[in-house]
Amino acid sequence: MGDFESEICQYTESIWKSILDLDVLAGCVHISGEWDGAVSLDCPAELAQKVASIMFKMTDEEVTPDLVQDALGELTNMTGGNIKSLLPEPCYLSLPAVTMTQHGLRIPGSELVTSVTFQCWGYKFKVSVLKKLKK
Amino acid sequence: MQFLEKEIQKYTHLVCAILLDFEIHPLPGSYEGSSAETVLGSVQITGKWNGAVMLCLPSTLVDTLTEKMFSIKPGKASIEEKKDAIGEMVNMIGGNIKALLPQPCALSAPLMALEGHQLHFPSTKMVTHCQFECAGKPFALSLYEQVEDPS
Repeated sequence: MGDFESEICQYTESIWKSILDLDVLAGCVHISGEWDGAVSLDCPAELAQKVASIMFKMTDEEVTPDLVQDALGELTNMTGGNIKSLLPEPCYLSLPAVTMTQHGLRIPGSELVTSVTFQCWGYKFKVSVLKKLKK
Repeated sequence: MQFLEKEIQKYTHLVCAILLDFEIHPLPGSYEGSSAETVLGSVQITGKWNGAVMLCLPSTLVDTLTEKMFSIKPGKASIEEKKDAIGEMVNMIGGNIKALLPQPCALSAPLMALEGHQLHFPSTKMVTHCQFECAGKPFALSLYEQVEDPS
């Protein structure tokens, strides 16, 4: 992957934005303790907006970018919390971090161990588990 | 005086001086570079104290720091090397800050957002923002603390 990673990310992002007109949001929580790694949730901004409108009982027009980030952060936190319960204890869950487009989110020193794609209201979203590499 | 401001200035200076042999100087005000030209690196702190440390650097400074850290010729640093350099910097600064906070606390792996991307920490507030100058370019280190859920 190494040599072409940046090019693949750039092309994919360009295609999604220019052809599908979709921005992508990514949420991430870290897990530290007996098991070290991260859980990330990538989804189109439109899906995140729908989630926020349901979560905060608002119309799509009333939902602000901050609320979209809060909603994705909360979803990531809940997903990460459940995954954490499957891991060796004690483990701690970090606060969520949210960024626009998963291609900009990088966790150096970790490797992808699981990635599952789901579909919701016609939008695809992805949950990934990354494990910290031992130095 | 902001939360741990003196300590953050001290440790950021130490890490830059020891790791990179770069002198840095505190600057007044805040650094708000355009997201298209900045690289963000963060580590999160979890435990008795919850929050995040975020380093915000212009991409030209990232190049300079990476070249210095790995002894690379100008313009030859790869994205992987830049990620590693900034990840290492924020990890070292975050580790020092963590040691000043109530224990036990755990430090996460670094999280990076490259040029054109922003990083947000929902349910937190910025408690400290320190701007510095390094090799003639500004950069900033910010500390975010979790805000209690009002519900």
